[in-house]
Amino acid sequence: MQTEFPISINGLNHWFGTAEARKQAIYEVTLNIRPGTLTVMVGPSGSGKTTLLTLMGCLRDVQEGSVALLGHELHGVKEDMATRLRRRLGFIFQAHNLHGSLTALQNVRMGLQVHATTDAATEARAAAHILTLLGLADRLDYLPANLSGGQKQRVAIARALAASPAVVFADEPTAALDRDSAANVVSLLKRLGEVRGTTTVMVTHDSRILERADRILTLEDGRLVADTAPA
Amino acid sequence: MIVSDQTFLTLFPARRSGAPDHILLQVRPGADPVAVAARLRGIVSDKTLRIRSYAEAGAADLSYQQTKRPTGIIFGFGVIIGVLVGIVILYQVLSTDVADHLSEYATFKAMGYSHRFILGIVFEEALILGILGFIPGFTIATGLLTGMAMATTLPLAMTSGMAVSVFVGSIVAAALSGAFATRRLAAADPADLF
Repeated sequence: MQTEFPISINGLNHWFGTAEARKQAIYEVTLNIRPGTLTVMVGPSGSGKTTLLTLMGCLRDVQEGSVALLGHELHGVKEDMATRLRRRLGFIFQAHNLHGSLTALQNVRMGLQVHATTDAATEARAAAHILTLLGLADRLDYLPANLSGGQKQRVAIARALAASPAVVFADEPTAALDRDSAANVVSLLKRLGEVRGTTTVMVTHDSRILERADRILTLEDGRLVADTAPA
Repeated sequence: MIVSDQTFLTLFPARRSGAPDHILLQVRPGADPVAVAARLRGIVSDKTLRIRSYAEAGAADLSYQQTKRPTGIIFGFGVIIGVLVGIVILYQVLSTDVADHLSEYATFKAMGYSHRFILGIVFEEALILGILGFIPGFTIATGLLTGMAMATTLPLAMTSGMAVSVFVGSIVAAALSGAFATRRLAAADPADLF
C-alpha cells in the first residue's frame, strides 16, 4: 500500500446489477493522486466518473481491486472504519443536499459537529468565517429555501470545507455559480491544497476549472483513457 | 340496566326485601380499618360474608368492573386498539418524514455521522411527537372525567398514577413506532447523493 498518496487505486473493477443484468461500470483503473492537488475527472455521461468518485470517497463498497484512501484499504472496510474515514473527507454534491430546517450557519456547523472537538462558540465562529470567505456573511441565518441556487451551493461548499478535510470530493460544484463565485471557489480549493495539503478530486465540465486543474483524468466507458496535466 | 326494587326482587327471587347487601361499620377514630376487618374475619363464622375495609372493597369492585363486566372488557380492548392505532399512525408519520428527508440522512452518513446518531434523530422525533400527543390527550381526558364526575356525582378524576402510566405508555408506543420507522433509514445511501 502506497501511503504517500492520499488516494491510490490499483486494478479497480466495479459492476452494477446481478445475473444477466450485471454490467461493468469500471474497468481496471489504476492511478495514484498526489496530496494537495486538484484532480478533475471528465468524460461523457455514463463513463463511470461518479462511480469512481464514490468508490474513492468510501461511499460505495469496493468489489474488485484495491482503493487505498488516506492509507486505509477500502476493499472490505468495516462500516465503523468507513464512518471514521468519511469524517476526514469533504463532499460537495451537485444538488447541495442542505438540511432544509437548518440555517446556512447551522448547516455548516453540522460539518464541524461530527468531530465533536470544539465548543459551540468556536464552531459558530469557524462556520461564519468560511461562509464569509465564500461571500455569504450576510446570509448566515437564512434557511436554504430563502437562498438562491448559487448561494445554496456555496453553503454546501462551506460545509464540506469547514472541518479542513484531507480530501474533497466534488461533483459539478460550480454548475450553479456565476463566473466570479466559481473562480472564488476554485481559488479557495487551490489555496487549501497549497497551504493545508488538501487534495481535491472533482467531476466537472466547467472549462474555467479545467484550465486550473493540476491533472485531468478522462474516462470513457468505465476506462481511464487519458491522464494529462493542462499546459 | 336500572330497575325498581320490585322488579329486582322479581328477577332475583332468592333475594329478600329488606336484606342488606352491604353493612357499613364505622371504626373508632385512630383504629386501623384493615386490622379491624382482619379481626372480624377471625370472629365471624359465616364464610359467605366478605369483610373488607372500604379501600379493599373499592379496589375489588374496580377490578371486577374492569376485568369481569362487559363494559370494562370493552374499554380494555378500546385501550389496546387505541395504543395500536396510535403506534400505526405515528409510524406512518415518522416513516413518511424519513422518506421525505432520505437525502438529508444520506448526507449525514456521507459526512461521517454514525448510524447511531441518525437512529437517535428518528427516536428523538418519535419521542417529541409522543409528548406532544400526550398533552392534548391528557387535557381532553381530564376535562371529560371532570365533566362526567359533575354530571354523575361518581368519583371520576384523572389521578397522578393514571396520568403517569398513560404518559409512560405513550412514550413506549412512540419508541416502538420510532424503532419500526428506522428500518426506512436503510434506503439512505450516500452513494446515491452524487
